[in-house]
Amino acid sequence: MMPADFAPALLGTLFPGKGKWPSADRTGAPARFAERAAASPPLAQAVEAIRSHLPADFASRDAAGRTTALQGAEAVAPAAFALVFAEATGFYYTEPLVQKVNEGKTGFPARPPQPQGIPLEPFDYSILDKRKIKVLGE
Amino acid sequence: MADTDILVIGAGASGAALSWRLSQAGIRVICLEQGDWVKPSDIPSNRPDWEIARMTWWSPNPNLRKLPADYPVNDADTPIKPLMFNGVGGSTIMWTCFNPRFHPDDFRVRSVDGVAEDWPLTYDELAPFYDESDRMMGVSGLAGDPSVPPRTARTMPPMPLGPGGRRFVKAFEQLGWHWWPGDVARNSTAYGDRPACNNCGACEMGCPIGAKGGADFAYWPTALKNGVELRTGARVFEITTDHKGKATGALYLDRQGRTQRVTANAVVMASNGIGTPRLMLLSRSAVHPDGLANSSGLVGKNLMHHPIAAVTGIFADIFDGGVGGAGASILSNEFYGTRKGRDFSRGYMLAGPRIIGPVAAAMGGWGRPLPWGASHHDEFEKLSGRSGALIISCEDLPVESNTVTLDAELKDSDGIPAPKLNYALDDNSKRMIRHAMDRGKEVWDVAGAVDTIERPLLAQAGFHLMGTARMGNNPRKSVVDRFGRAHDVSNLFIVDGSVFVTSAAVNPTPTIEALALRTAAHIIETRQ
Repeated sequence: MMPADFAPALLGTLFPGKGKWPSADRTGAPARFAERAAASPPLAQAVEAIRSHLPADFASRDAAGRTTALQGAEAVAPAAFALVFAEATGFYYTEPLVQKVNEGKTGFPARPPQPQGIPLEPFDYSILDKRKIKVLGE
Repeated sequence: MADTDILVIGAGASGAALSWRLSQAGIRVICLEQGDWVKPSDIPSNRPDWEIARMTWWSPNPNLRKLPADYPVNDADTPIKPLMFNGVGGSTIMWTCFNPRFHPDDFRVRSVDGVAEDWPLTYDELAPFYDESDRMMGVSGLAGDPSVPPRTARTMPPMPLGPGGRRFVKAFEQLGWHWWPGDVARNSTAYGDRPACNNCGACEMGCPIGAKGGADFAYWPTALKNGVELRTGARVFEITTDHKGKATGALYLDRQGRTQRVTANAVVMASNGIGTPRLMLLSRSAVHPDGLANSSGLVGKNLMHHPIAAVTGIFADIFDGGVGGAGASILSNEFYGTRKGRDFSRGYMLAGPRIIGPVAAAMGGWGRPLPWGASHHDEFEKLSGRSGALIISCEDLPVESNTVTLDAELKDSDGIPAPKLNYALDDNSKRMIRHAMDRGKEVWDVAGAVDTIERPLLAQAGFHLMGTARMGNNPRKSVVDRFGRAHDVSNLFIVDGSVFVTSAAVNPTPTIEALALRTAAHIIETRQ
């Protein structure tokens, strides 16, 4: 069973935030991650595998201490770590606040693809005007 | 009297196309499909966690998705993981709609290049059926590509290239390489009673508005109106035969797990390049001791994918925002087919897909995984919105040791043996990929990328399942004849990617549909 302070510490170490990017422990991602781990045996096993290689006081360590400890766990349990990282990434980048920051930086819409979609511009035929026609094999 | 004239196993692209065509001629058809209809509300592209869904419970990989209709595939011994969807429309539910045709030389690689085998048919024979498939699916594109034979006008104008595509164009022009807007089975304008695409970009998740040319939208509504009986939730576990070895129908499990029987005058397998050989190997009998129609020993052998590689270009500026459809809006045939002076046979296609969401970008997208910790966001910002991927689709030559067999232990939820894949890249493919990586890097260098990332083989890219019951004129070297009829069983046909003799270097769905429509026309012409 994952202690209550573990998921915030873990995700906050993976995604510590920078500039406008929020630290994961200040979003809803840790709670969603913990909920998922409770329902998903493969994720729960992976979390436990990682935890078994971490010090008992992992959650109360400072950022540098948590990072060092987590690097050690990744080195000895890479497959489990990869699954945990993938799941954590999914929860972090689907947080509304994170999506909003991403939209501001890249233009990628902070909403699901449907139902709104994105305006479909017509094909620009002028791009063919200067095209060098090349017949392959000649 | 049999329950039906024709029994079709599988409601995907090939089963749908064939059922529709037969029903147009008034032939009685029953189609068995282990999955269900996909409703718009089933498709998670309107959920905030849509990207998580795409990587887990709505993944194209059945081993990750694990829906009730799915069967597991033992993929431990293949670097390319099989992707498919089990439901009405089959894998077209999750396809990216890229719709290229084979080139004429793809059908005669033995004659042209001295490798593999020639197909027992030509491009010209198949061309009318390609056209028919295009009309049904709806294809946005532009006729006139000088690298392929002349073809009819596309049914809709091309999809826009977008800022990313224009960057490709600039680079290809500078290099003097071929390029052309891709044929995409997605509506650039309204088509029939289907609306124009709203450019949401999540084509791989299914299209809730019907703007994508899926077999569920394109064929099934008319086929059902014509009287085809489509039974969903029907998991076939045996093609039945009589004492002479002729097909008599099929046994399947219904939703309640009860065994049901359908009798038919002829059976058509349309269950994809893994499902079809699996079912044929499951259908052993005294007359067919090695599996149905397997006197050649080739059922399940010569499995081909397309090894897919990617070269990601990273730019200093944000140029696309990651928006746009998933299918390739632009392609290059510059390195297609065999060319002199290279150390490999056959060739590859370059294509430019567009969409990548933030979760996928954070996972490395088409490139490499990002670091976690203090440097994560800096690396994310270098990639997200600033990168584009050049996808490389390599022709995969048939190798007998690349196989689909029945797993000795793994079973599906009904206790039916699951398929096992054994697949390895041959040296030709490895040399081809190396060549392609260098060319991809060249494109991005010319385009002004500040960095590139090479991915020589994408694992989650095994959508194309081909070759496991191939066609040919010689019964000792093939499973079916040039019309898809089994050499050993005169009333058994195969119409999915299993019948491919070679893979070409392009997405197979248009060719699968064209072959299915051709087989249907043959059945109609020769019926008694």
